[in-house]
Amino acid sequence: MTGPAVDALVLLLDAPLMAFGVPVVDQHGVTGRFPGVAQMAGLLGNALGWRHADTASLQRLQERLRLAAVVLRDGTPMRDFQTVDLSQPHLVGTGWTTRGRRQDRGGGEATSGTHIRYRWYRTGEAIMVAFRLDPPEERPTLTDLETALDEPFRPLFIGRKACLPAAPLLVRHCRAASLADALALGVADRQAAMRQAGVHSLEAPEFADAEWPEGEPGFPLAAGDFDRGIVYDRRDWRNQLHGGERRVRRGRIRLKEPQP
Amino acid sequence: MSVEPRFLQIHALTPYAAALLNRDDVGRAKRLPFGGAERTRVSSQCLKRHWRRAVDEWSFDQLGVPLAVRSRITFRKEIAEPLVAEGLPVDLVVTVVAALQAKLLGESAKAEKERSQKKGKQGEDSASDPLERLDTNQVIVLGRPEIEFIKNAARDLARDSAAVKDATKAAETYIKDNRANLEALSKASGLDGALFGRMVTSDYLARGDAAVHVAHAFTVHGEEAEPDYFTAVDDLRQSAGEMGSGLIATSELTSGLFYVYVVVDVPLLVSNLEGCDARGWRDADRDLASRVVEHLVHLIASVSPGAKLGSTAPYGYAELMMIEAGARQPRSLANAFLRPVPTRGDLRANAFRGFGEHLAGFDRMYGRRELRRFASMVDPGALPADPAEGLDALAAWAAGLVRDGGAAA
Repeated sequence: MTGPAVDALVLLLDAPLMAFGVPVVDQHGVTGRFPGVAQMAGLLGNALGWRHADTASLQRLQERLRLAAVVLRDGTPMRDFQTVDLSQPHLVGTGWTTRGRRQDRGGGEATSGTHIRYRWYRTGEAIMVAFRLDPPEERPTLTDLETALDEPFRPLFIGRKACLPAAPLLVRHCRAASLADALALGVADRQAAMRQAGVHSLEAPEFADAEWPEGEPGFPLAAGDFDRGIVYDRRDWRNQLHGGERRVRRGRIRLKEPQP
Repeated sequence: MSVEPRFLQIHALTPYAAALLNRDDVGRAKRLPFGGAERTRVSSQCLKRHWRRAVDEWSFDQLGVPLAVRSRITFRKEIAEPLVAEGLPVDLVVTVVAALQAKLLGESAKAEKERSQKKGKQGEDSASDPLERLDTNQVIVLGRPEIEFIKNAARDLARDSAAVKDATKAAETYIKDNRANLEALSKASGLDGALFGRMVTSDYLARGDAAVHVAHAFTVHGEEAEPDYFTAVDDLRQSAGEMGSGLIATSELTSGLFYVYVVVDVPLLVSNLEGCDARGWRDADRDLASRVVEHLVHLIASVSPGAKLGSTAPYGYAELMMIEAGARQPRSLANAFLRPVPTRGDLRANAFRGFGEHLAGFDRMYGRRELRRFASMVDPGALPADPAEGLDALAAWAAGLVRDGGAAA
């Protein structure tokens, strides 16, 4: 493997239920196939103890994230049916704001009756994520994040608060030839540790579905080996809106033994 | 082992037989595909709803008394004192904060005046401390976003006033102009929001984050479901000589041993209840937070998320409950059941053993950094945790960790 070495953090997202936020326009809360940069920035910010108001820090971290992910255990999509009775006392007339004006739900059906939501999840899935920061020297550094992930400021969740991880997220901090190699290192590392502990092992396939940023070195280059895609996974943190696209490639990668 | 009990992880295994606990839009039990098998599922929303609405000796309503004791110095300690420390004159701060406090507590101007006069008569000490005017016995739960908002408003009002007379006038005008918002704030504050969060879509500064995270519960084994065929017979028609059928239908019934997992973010819970910064949770009064935790443990153990109460009596208590306290990233033990527990033989024993083995494997792989205790109806086998003498003791232990901030751990 040629190309510059990267400093990367490898995380394992493993939970009975996970959601990968993508823009939602109606009562269908859909989920993406892979975690996006806004979601990862939010998760890391949560670990660091950032607050909703720390929008500049979240925005900057999102800009610095270079993220690749691979599916280790394929899950199943699931639609959860959810209702909310908007006429409950704690939901009516309680929307105070820092602007000094109360936020209401408007009139008619928006304030009463039962509203229906469909929330989509990925179930029984395990996804390994490797990311680097560009530029790497700015704070927070990968070392800051490594510490924060081990003992986070708040409990971490994967997409929604009910999506509580079934394993520690942090796999390792490593220097690898590329994010692709960091992923392979992470898989090998986790499997060896599980074998050693005598724990029912995560069966990593030799080839697995992955998503990586366009132009990221170390991933398949032949035109037939990937699909081009655009994901809408950026957030305008200050205005609390999803906005901005990111070009990615998706394909099957080989989780081979990486270069040392 | 010295551990800062920032996160409490509560695990429970609870059985329900022949019940329909949580349905989807076509009336079937909610399900979860997990580890190659469909499981019966109870959503986190369903669990939370039943815990918050439970009526029993451990329901959150029963926390009224400590609430009143605790909230009496919130306005003084979290709003007035910091403003005075910023250099604003005490008399102006007390004037505007007292006015805002009276509005938020729904107190009449007359009642506020009587209260402050009474405080003034209590002797030399209190007369020399004007901030004591703000102490109240009324119940209010304000989280950090609410405290910050009130503090900012009070600061602006006090800063723009030259004398007490101006401050009084400015506060009156402000309250009049912002009546709807202040009433909404007062209405929004409470235990419910402190535990389970409060969302204002347009304003992230006013958002209250949940201090209690609840995973969807699911059966540790593959689903066990049965369509229950039933008829409703019309007795009057039958006595008139007809067959009497009124209705023929099917409904689904399920049985299962459910894994329930809850995480309490202790610093945020204290912050939501006391209005302090989450980072300073160990300096705040933690009595109410500890009582809340004790109640929550009991509710998780004994409150049924069930529907069809009359026809299925879906009441079950947890048979194994384990609580972990620590600062490391919380993680559920759901993967103990990724491979569905065999229903052959003793399902409960199989599940408890699998749970213990998974936890032991976790300790071998990651080390043990949490304090752990459990209560169980039967011997859970080799579970790497210390036994508590029953649920009361387990809940009291968790509450004690919150109360003393882990100092005695």
